[in-house]
This record gives sequence, structure tokens and C-alpha cells, in this order.
Amino acid sequence: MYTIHRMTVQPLATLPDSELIEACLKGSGQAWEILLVRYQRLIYSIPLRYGLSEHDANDVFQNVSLLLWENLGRIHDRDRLGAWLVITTRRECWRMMRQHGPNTTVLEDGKLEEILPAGPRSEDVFLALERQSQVRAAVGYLGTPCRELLSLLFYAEPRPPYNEIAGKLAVPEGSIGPTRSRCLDKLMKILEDMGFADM
Amino acid sequence: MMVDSMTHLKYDILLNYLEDRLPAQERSKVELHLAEPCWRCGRHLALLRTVLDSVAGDRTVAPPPAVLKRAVDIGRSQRKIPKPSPWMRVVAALSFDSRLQLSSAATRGATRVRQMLFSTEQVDIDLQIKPGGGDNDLLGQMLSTEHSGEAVLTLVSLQSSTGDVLRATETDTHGQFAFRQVPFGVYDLVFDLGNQEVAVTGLELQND
Repeated sequence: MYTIHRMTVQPLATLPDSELIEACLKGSGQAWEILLVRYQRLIYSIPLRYGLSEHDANDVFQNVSLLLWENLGRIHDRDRLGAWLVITTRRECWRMMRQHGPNTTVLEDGKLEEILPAGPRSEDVFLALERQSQVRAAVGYLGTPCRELLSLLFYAEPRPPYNEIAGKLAVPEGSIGPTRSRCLDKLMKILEDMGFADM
Repeated sequence: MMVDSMTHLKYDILLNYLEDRLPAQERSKVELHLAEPCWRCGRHLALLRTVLDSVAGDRTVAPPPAVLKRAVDIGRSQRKIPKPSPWMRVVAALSFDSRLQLSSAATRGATRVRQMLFSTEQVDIDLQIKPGGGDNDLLGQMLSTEHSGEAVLTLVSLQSSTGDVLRATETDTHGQFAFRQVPFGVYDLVFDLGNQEVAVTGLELQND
């Protein structure tokens, strides 16, 4: 699905957050799915970092998604949706931990400070989570050969050599370099369209 | 690879540059081009560096597909976005301010740390503002008045006067929290108690 944007046709998946929210408010179910995919890792990783179980993280994810749906029209700064999601998710984590009671280990003195220290640096941690989620989403928006190649180059540990990548993708080794160039251009274009550069 | 002032650097070249994979001569050409300066290539370099940093530090976890699907289905099952439900915010009242207790003569040479106490029916909020070199440390504690001074565990956010959340933290098991190196300005402190918010509004952090 495409929407006319700045006199060119731009895929819905690469619109910046503010325009996706606008599309959601106009009833686009696809825009809603794209928003969730874009930030799924951000929302899900925060409860795990707080030491909550996967079961609780699932509940936090659902709660935050419902809160996002209910408050789409009320978000003050639509270009900072990531920050809104961080605050909301942390709040939901707190509610979850309160339900567990005051003796839960995640509330031990200093434990939260070690995981997510309060102060200016903790905001860097959440900004990093936000960016990581967005980059992953952008890689996911690429077509199959680019998505597979960049996933191997960026996220495989250890990074496989080109001959191994060529084998996995069933392409000549000599084609990896030019393909990487083309795929990287596409990825950076997607990120710029999403507003990644302005964060 | 030719790099001259008429062309810009492709991301692929910038990636090789950042990963130190360019031969010395090509590397010099890239650095000369960036130093012209080429704002577009400089911006692209910064963007690529941010992406690579994100990738390198990525330990995020995706939710199980069924969990994501359930969340996506919220938009399918509820066609209309509901009107936001009312949210109760209680503004805490100032009951003590050390600045108001001292005469102007006494403030000269007196400690610059400012102590304030705010209260609602449910909680007391003790605040301490410590000026530093060009900014302030804001330290505080929230205790319940309903449960004999018990510490209150809550999420605390520091907001601008327009409601933008600038920072957030949590109270510890003693109900204490801290925001360090806060620039001068006017802020709201908002405490999320679950069923309501408690706010300390118009908190002015000054350069004494």
C-alpha cells in the first residue's frame, strides 16, 4: 500500500512516525501494524531488562500496545513516539513489579541502578534501544536478498566471510560487494524516510 | 574509486572507511573530500556511524509472533480509536520552602541547597535542590501519609512546562529518586501512582 508523500510515491512502511500515527487515526490497520513492528523490540526488551519473565513481558507488551492504541490521538510530540513508548513501557513494568509485591528481587537496592542507572546516561540507554528497534525494522522492510544479506553482515555473530555468505545466499562471491552497496543505499534511504536522522 | 569534489561518497565507501578497509590512498581521498567540507557526505557518515553503533550494541529481543499478532489485532478488532479516558492528576501543595524561611541577610553565606516539602492527601514529597556548576541536582523522596510514612515506589518523570517528558526514573525501596545535572529552567515533576498522577508544578531551578 502506498501513499502520496512529497510528490513521490512512498511506501507506508517507511513513513515517519507522525505520518503513520495520522494514518492510524484515519483508520489504517496497516499503519497500526507497521508502528508495532517498528517498535516491537523496544517495547519487549525493556521488561526483560528489568528482570521480568517472558510471560510478564508478553503482558507488558500487550498493555503498552493497548495504551498506544487508546492514546494515539493524544500523543503530544508525534515525532518522539519512541520516547513516549519508553516512558509508558517503564510505567507498565513498574505496575507489573508492584503486582509481584515488594519482596521481588528486581526491587533490591542498587539492582535497578545497575541495569538502568537513573540520570542523564539512562536516557542514552533508552535512546539506543529506540534506534536499535528502528534499524531492525528498517532491515525488515528490505526485499528478500537485501534483508538476508544485511542481516548476515550486521547481526550474525561472528560475521561470516563473504564466501560463506555467498554460499548461504546461493550467489557468486563476487556479487556480494556490489549487492551490499545497493542494499546499504536502500537501507539508509528507508531510515532517512523514517526520520531516523532527526532523532 | 574516484572521489572528487563533483561527486559524493556512496554509503558503501563510507562503510569501508569506517571499518578501515580502504587502501591508504583511497582513505586519504575520502578524508580530503570530507574536509572540504562536504556537508552531505559528513551527514551521511554520521548517520551511518549511528546505524553501525546501533547494530553493534543491539541486544534487543522481539516478542513471540503470537504476542505481536495479538497486539496487531487490537487495531483490527477495535476499528475506532476510543476517546481517552479521564486521568486524574493531583497537584501537590507546597507546605515548606527553606528559601522563604531565611531573611535576605541570612541567605548571604548560607547553604545554597534548597529544601522543599509538598503534600497531597496521600503522599509527602521531600525535595532538595543542589546547585552545581551551571546546573542542579534534584533529589527527592516520596512517603505515604496513608501508611505511616512508608516509602512509595513509583515512576517519576521530569517534564517541561509543555508536558514533554525530559527524563524519567524510579524511586528506590526508600522512596528516593534523583535527577542529576538538570539545566536551569522551570519543570514539572510527575509521579505515577497507578490510579492517579501527583504533580509538583512550576519547579524553578535557578543559578543562585
